[in-house]
Amino acid sequence: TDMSKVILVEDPASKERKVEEMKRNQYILQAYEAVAKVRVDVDKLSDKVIALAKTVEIGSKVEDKEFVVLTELLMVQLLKLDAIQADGEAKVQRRIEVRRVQSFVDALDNLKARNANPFANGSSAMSVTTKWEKFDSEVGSL
Amino acid sequence: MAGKGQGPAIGIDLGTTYSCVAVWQHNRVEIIANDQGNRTTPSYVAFTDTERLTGDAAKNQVAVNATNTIFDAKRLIGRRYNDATVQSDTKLWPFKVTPGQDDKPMIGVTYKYEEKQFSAEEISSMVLVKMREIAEDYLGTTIKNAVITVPAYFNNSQRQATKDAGAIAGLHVMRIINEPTAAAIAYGLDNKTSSTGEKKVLIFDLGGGTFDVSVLTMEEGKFEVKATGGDTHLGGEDFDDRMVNHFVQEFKKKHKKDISGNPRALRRLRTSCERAKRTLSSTAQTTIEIDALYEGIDFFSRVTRARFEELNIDLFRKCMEPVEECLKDAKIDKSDVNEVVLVGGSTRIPKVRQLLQDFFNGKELCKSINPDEAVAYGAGVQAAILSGERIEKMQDLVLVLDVTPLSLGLNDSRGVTKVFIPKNTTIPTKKEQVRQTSKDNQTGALFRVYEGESTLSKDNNLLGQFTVTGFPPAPKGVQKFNVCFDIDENGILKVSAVDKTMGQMQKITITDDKCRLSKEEIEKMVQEAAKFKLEDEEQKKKDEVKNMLENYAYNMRNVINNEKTGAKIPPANKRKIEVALEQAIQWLDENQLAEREEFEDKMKELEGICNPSIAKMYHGSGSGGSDAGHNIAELD
Repeated sequence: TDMSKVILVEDPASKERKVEEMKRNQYILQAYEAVAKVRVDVDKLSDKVIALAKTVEIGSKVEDKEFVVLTELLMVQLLKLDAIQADGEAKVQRRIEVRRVQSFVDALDNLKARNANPFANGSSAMSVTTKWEKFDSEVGSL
Repeated sequence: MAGKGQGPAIGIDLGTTYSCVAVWQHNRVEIIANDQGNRTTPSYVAFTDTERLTGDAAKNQVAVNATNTIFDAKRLIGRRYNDATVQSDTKLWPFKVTPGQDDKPMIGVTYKYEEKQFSAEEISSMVLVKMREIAEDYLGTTIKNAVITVPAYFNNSQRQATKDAGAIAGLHVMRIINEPTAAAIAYGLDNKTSSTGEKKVLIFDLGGGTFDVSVLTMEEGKFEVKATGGDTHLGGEDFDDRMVNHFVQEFKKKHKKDISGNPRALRRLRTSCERAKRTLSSTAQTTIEIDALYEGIDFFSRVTRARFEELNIDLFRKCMEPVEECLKDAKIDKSDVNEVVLVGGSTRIPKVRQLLQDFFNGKELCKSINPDEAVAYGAGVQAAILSGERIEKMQDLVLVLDVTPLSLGLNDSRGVTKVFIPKNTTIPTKKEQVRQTSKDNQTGALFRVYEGESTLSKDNNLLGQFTVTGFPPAPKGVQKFNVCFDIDENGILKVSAVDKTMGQMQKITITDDKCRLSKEEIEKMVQEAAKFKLEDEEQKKKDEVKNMLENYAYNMRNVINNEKTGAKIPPANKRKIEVALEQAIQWLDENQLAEREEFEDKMKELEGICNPSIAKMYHGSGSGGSDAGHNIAELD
């Protein structure tokens, strides 16, 4: 033989690519987790939106401030989502979460408008019914 | 000098939008982070139906409580309501400002369902208390002494009012020093005392909303403010605005829709722009990506540093004008400037640095200290020196001397301000002049004290006035007065006039204009501040007890509902506990604003019902026998 050797050298470019890909995955994972964290908070807020909707539904008057505060808490979550740099699946998740928060904010806007307008909600109609029932029963007792 | 047992002295940079606190410790300056981990704290105070908030907590709720969230108190302090700047600033604020006694601006808020009025001194005192508490939490000791910084252009009444704010906050204000002086001190430490002779320093302070340029000279620890300039409404927020407008236009072009009428979309865009601006200080380009920004449309765009610079170049150039003017006023050639110091977050912008460096023909800028912290840093050093701390690196700089920012004098009979103390006189100082009556048979003399550089008094700022009466009629010039202007080390002026010819003392001293709080008022405010503090603490305790009750009730419900643990409680007891828990939880829902005692009583009541059964269960002495013993771990 001519004493020549074959040396196996790792391609530095491919190694770099691998590191890049790992970094990318890591980055997506981090974004994914950040979105999940916001989701937990939004879940809690959604419970409050539902509770508030029920209150308005039955015609109880709610203070305007309740809508304002809840909307603001949702806006804070929205800004948190905007701060998350995301790619791939994490980006999809972020967008879903943004739309969800926005749907709650819209719902609160509607509830607030209903709450502010006494003719649009059920409370006055219901109180009228009660009165008539009372009248009926009084008539009946005569 | 600070007494023993008062803890270390702190330095406070009391800013328009943010404040910062520093202390000298372990032979170096420590910038102290607040409970949120932030090294600067918003100069915000908020009032709600239930509590008072300061700092981050106040700023975070501004969107839901704008009319009762106070900031910018520094723009009001020591000014009169009719002051042109107060008039224009008031239009921009969501909170209410009205003229009070002697034209003092008063801030109106609703606190615990009551209308309340606060002076700018009181609001600032609440910010100062917050800064003191941040330092106390960190150091674990009480703090009494502080050095507070003010802008170099602050006049006598603004300085005095700032000092009063310190007094209301229960602080002993060792000294009020100029912000540029503090920044220079901060760098003085690093530069040691390499040079001899007079050093000329330019301080370039570009913050979030204000821009100040000052030219100082320093020699053997004596600082002189040679000139000041700038723009009271220029800063980082203006640069954000430009970027926001740029993207609003881009959105219009791309999607044919105008988002400028939608506050929520604008807020998201602004927040992203501010972040992009910060990123562009260290990278050449960045992206803006906002999902469903407007009508469900996703917004994606790139912005390069070059583009950001182009959007703001006129504003950046505008920042160089006061630099030139200031040097002209100070009669200093730019080639003679020894140091150029960067202060304020917006000096991180590379283009701003470049323009400034180009102006000074490539001179290296002082930027090694965090520009948000440089002023507090210097105040911390000064506080340590004043409390007798041995600072080895700075032995030459024994005491920092400040100077009067404006000339001070008396109005004469022709309406001209006769200067007693020229501007840039090192303080403390005392100047005396003899003045005489200007009319025959004059029996009273009016002394009007002005500050400013104009010849005519009407163009200067009236600080205050007083009269001396009751002297006998005489030809003009016979009646003479010895008038004395006395400025203490805090830059606070006292003027007195002594009737000479009567041979007896008719002496009146004024300390400041009428806007100034009286000693009694300050005392009252100190007491009120103590009351507020008690209320805050009570609220905190109440929240703790309420949370304890809530946690207890929910934990207990989990124990009862848990199959294993629940089964160990006799059904009769279990039912009783269930009813009590439901009642307690309902009561909590309906009584969020109950008194602390009520929460405590409810807690005791609930514990009285639950604890015996639970204790039995834990100790296995009840019904469960050995089985109960095995399950202890699951209860937590």
